[in-house]
Amino acid sequence: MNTVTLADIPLLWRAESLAPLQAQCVSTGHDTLDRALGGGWPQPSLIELLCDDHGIGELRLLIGLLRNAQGTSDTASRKVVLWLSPPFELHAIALSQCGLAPNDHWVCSVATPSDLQWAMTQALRSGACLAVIAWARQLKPAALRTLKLAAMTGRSVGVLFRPTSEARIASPATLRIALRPQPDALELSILKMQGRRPSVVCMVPADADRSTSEAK
Amino acid sequence: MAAAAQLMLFEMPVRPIAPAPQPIESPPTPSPASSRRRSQAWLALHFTDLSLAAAYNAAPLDRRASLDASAWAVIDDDRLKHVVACNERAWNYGVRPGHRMNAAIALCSSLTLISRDMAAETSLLERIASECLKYTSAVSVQPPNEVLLEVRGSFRLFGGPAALIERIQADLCGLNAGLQLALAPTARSAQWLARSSTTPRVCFPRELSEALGSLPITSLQWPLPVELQLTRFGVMTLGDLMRLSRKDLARRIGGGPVRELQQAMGRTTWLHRGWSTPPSYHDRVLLDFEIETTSLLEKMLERPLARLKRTLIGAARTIDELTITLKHREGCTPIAIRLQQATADTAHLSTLLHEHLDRLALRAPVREVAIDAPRLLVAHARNHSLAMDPATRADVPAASELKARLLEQLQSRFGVNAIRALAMRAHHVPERAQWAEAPSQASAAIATPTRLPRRPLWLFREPKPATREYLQGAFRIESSPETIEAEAWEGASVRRAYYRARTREGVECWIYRDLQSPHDWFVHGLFG
Repeated sequence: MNTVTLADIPLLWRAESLAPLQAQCVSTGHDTLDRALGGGWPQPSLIELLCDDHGIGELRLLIGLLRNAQGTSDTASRKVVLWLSPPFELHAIALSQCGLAPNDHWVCSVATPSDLQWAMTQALRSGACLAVIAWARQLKPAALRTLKLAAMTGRSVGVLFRPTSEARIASPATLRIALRPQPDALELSILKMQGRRPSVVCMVPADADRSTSEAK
Repeated sequence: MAAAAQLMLFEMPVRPIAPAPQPIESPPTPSPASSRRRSQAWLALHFTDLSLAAAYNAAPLDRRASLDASAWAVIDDDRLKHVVACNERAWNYGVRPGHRMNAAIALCSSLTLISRDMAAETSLLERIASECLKYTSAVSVQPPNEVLLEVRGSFRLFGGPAALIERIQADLCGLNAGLQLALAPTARSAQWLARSSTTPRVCFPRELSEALGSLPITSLQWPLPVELQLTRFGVMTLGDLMRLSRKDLARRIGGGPVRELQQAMGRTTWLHRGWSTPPSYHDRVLLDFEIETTSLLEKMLERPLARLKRTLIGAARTIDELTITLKHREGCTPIAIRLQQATADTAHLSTLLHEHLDRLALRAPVREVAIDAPRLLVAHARNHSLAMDPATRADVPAASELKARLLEQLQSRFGVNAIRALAMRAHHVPERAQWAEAPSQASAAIATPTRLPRRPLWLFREPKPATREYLQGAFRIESSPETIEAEAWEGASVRRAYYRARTREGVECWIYRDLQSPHDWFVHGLFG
């Protein structure tokens, strides 16, 4: 008996078959997240990570993004990573344990939100930065749009950490992920991903540990 | 210097310029003998009214307006105070260069007299020479009022002799220094031809002796006794002079004029001292009015920066430091721009300047701006990659250059010490094992870390006391202890047992027990 599945109907449009908008992806180092994002971190892009606590594994998520591109060109022409007003100090030894060169990480403390927006825009547009990682709150949609355009111009990745209370505010970012710590895992709810559907991914810490031990 | 700075900013009313004559025939093809030594083409720029232009540019603005409306003359500093140059109004009254001051005043009672400033003239001439570096690299300054350019190699670039002459005339007409031009195969003949004729002259090698022969002796500016003596011989033109025996002539009027004649005919060489860019750059802009806003100031600085760029590119130089001093009625505000990489790109400089001016609150109106580059470095031409950016069709700059530019930009807004790069140091105590250094150009290779237990990505500057939280059972210890000890001679006396712990909220912390006071617990970092 012949069965007709939905996939056989040519006129049916499926949401998964959205053409991938992002030409280039960088693997996150976590298979489940890669699958949910359709390959990895989009590049160039503006990524928003919404989280309220520090130390829940938010930086480990990004290691794959930073490591991948730094490892590719191991010459003087390596790009830098700019950290704008991080809440704590970065630990250089931990970075090198993750396979990153601490020398390429520039830290800049910026006092006012307008200065932060300016610095991030300039850094993204310059093309000298692999990624610009900033902690900000209460950015206007116009400012976010400027940041995204700057990231596209400079072909780099802008990562913005925002409080979860701003999840309800619309944003032009390429990717928005809300991070919520669970007792034994980190729950990532992908609120928005251009060209894909929202989904929820759970990452267990063992997963993260494995990825760092691979780096060693 | 003041006069030089005003060269392009304030322009006097332009006098009509005689059109450059079209060359009648192409230069003759070089014979085999001459092809061994490359033929030369010298362009002489003779400024009859250089002292006039220098005096005008050195004058303050309000005085300039009154000079424009009156008859004025520049007088020499000698005993009789001869008139060196005068403007058109004074000329119409009958005042001529060479008149004594008394005679000039007798002709025009309202004549304004300005004494000659040789230093201003010299600097103006050097300024012109620097500007001329954009036409050719072989420039020679002949004081008091001539500049010689060897332009044989520049014809093709500028579209032939006539186009080049037209271009130079157009570029220098704003100066209004009575420019006279001549192009000839030898430097001396070009100089003589420029002195003699007010319209531009182009002289080809085959007509050199003919052109020189018709020159009157009086136009050569030889010393007066020589001129008088030659007149007594009945020698009126150079042609007459060339007919005489060189040896006898040298005995009667001295070796100098004869040698010059030989040089003009190209029989002996004339060695010049080439003009090159001075080792530093200084520019001063007197403002027409006091400026109170930085945005206006930025707009005003565009032209001086463009002039700086012309100088740098013309001389193949770059700068790595620039100081812009804003002068107020009392005191001044210096703005120092230090560059990571030497550059001649003033567009980049103006973006940096924009950041500086953006933050600057002017304490008083600005009356004058000085631009100083303490050193001009020789530009090293870089090989550009063949790869082009497909979007903009422009060259892809090297990553190190992009990094340097970003760094300069951030530093000019937030201060030199605002941007720090991370660095590691060999030390057992975690907070002493790293430090922040100034970002450097060269990025080190990725160091392979020694075998250490996993370290947190976030490190607290000061360990946070957490004894109470620990006793309440807030931490779940997930690892075996790692003991870190350091003695006092290492800078800190430390004995700690570190653990990886997880809080109830799921935050992974790096906590330690101080072994010197075993009941105290601290949080030292977060595994971000």
